[in-house]
Amino acid sequence: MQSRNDTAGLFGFSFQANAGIIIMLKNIERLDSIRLEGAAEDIELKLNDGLVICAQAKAVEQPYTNFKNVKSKFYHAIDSLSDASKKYGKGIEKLIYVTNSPDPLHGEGLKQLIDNDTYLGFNDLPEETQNFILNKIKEQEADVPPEKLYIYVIPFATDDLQQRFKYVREAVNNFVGSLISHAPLAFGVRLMERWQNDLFDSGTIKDTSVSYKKKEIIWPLINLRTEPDYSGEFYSQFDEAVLEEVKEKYDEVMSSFCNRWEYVNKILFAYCSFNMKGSPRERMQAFIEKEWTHYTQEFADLESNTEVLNALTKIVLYNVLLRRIVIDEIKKKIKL
Amino acid sequence: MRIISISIKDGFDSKIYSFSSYVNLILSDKNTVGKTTLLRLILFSLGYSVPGTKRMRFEHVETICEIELDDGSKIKLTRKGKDYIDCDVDGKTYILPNDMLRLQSLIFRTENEEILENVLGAFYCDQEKGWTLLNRGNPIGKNKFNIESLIRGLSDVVCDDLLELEARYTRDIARLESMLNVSEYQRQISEQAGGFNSKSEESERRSRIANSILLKKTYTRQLMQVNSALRDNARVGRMIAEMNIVVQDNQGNLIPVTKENILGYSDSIDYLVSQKRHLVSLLANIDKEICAIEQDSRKEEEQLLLFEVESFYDKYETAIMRVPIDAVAAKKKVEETQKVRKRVRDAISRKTKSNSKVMKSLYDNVFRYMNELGVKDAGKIACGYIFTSNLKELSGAELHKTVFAFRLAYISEIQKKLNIKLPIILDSPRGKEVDDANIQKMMSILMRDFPDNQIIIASIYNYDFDNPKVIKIEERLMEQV
Repeated sequence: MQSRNDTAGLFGFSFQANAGIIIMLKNIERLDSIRLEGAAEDIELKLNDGLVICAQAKAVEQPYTNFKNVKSKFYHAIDSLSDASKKYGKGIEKLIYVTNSPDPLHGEGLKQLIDNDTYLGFNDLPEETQNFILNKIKEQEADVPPEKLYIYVIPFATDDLQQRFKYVREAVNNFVGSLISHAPLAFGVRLMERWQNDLFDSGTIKDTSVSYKKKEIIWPLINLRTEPDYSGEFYSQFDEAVLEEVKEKYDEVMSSFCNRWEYVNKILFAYCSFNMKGSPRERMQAFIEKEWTHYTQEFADLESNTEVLNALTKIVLYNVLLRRIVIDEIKKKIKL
Repeated sequence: MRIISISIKDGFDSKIYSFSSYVNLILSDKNTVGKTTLLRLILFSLGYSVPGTKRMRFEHVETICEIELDDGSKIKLTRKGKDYIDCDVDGKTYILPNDMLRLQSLIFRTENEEILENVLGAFYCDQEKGWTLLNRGNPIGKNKFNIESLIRGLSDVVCDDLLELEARYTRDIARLESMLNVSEYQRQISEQAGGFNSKSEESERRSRIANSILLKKTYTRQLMQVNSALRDNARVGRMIAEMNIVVQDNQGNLIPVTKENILGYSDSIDYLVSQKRHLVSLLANIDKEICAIEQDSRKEEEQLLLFEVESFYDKYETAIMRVPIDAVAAKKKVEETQKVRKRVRDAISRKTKSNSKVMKSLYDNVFRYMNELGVKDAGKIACGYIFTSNLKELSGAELHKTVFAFRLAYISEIQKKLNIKLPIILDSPRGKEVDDANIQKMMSILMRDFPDNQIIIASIYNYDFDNPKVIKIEERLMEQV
């Protein structure tokens, strides 16, 4: 059985990873890389203009009833953010105190501003709260420029993981939705789990120069979006049994084909030379309809049944071209 | 094709039986003297796997069967024991059952496997199962007959891939059902143990490990594929870089071709690297999980060592309980596999029925013979009746006559397709409930529609044929007259 401290530690680290995801998504366009347990802070984001965002994460296990230690957590955060500010100097863009407590400065006039997730800059705070913070900074001789200080409250509670991850899941879903129209909900969940996992891992590597790059954050989404799912309008043209046969027999062949650049290049070359106006998806449909017969030879040795061979050829073309289109769309939208 | 003779050697006994090209009656006054054994020995001598009878085990019997093909050529097949058969025409030894289809293709002059696999069920009617075998089942021993398969053969419809897929799903379902049986046994053991759940916890742990190992295998395979694709792509990239290609754009600028400026190249690498990272991470998590479960298991085993396992049954049940089975997942998988298999079967069925000519001809003959034999409601049957699986409504004489009608229809179609004549071998055609008038009708049809076929009938009753060759067995098959 895990000790009480272990559980509390895991809860804190879990909050840190999920807060990292949310802050990362807020800054995704300018993001260069992210790391948990960075050189100076719990969460460190490097932006593509060289600036840095540092966040100190403090989780409370029963955030809606337990306010006993919230203030001391904040004092500790000020010290920690001060160290980060000293380390990065003018390179710091923001210093964020991120917590799951709905009253992070218990009794200092902040509670009424907190509504679910709340992101407040120092200048947005009531005067009473500002004074309280300024006094603390002074008292602790902290190097925290107030204009760079932000308070971020993220709901994160209960032992029910569905509920605990609700907010981060919504943030990931919104992000996925902004890049892919009609994305299945499962994408968001799978992407969230993958990011949680990768961020956890990044936090366990001692070398603090190792970080999680934007490219590494976005490619999993492309992987997810281009996994052959054998459903949707394109696949409805095939007989169910034929589709089943292709799926059963050629799933590995197909991914091998779609992953090998020399094959992919042949298709892309022909596709680029294919003259037709319209959206990328319309061009893709038209290309497959018109050109697929030129590619059956690639699989003729594998499959003797014409119906299956034809379906396999079209499905491979579809997946190669879809991958290209999705990569282009997502890279463009996300400025990768 | 006709059987000319069969020579049988069983220990010190040996005997030769010769047959006429037309009707042969193997008669005896009483049962259990060896008529059925002789018919089965004929099949055995042709290479079929058939069970022996009470009086004769075939393992040590040696047979030499001489047959005449439709083109007049003769073949002598020598079978010593059940594992191989020598053929005098090509001088080859055929290993059984592996080479069975090759041997049969020599006898029946076709390489169409679906016809060869079903031909026995058309020309041979066993006394035990034969007269209840309508369109699917075992004519004798493990030999199979399936009307869909025969129709595919007769129509030259090929769907080997779908059949292979169907067989694979069937194997998978059988495996899963065996797992469920073990799981049910585990449940009973657990129930008898009165809720003491250390075994089920162990079982649960093993089940989790088994699932993790399965997942690990899948991810490892995927990782190997990704690595292989990465290596191939890197090789192509290097090749391009080494070629030092330079292209010119519309403004006349010279651009060296590198991995970085080829459309899609670096994307293909990034895509795979991302997949690889994910798989590596998943594999690491699985290893961690397996480690944690095993640690738990070790702790409990140490505790259990305090208790001595006493009997063989206890040990056996402990071992059974340790078999990791996720019954819920297995049940779900059975249902999923059954659904997929049904879709495959539907596809096979559609393909089988795509050539309506053979089906129609088969149906016409079945319809004609059933009517002629006076089968009740025969006038109402539709074309799909040839695929019926409802045998319950047929009983006694009705079933007997229907089976006969189906068999003759099969023989007609096979003969038409292969342009040969099949022997017709019937063991005890006079069923318990078939009266003389019906038997007479059956034999009349044989004489009228199959006058050039060799007919071999074994029975304790005589039949009214013109000049049949009568082979009388008095006391035993190997008796010396």
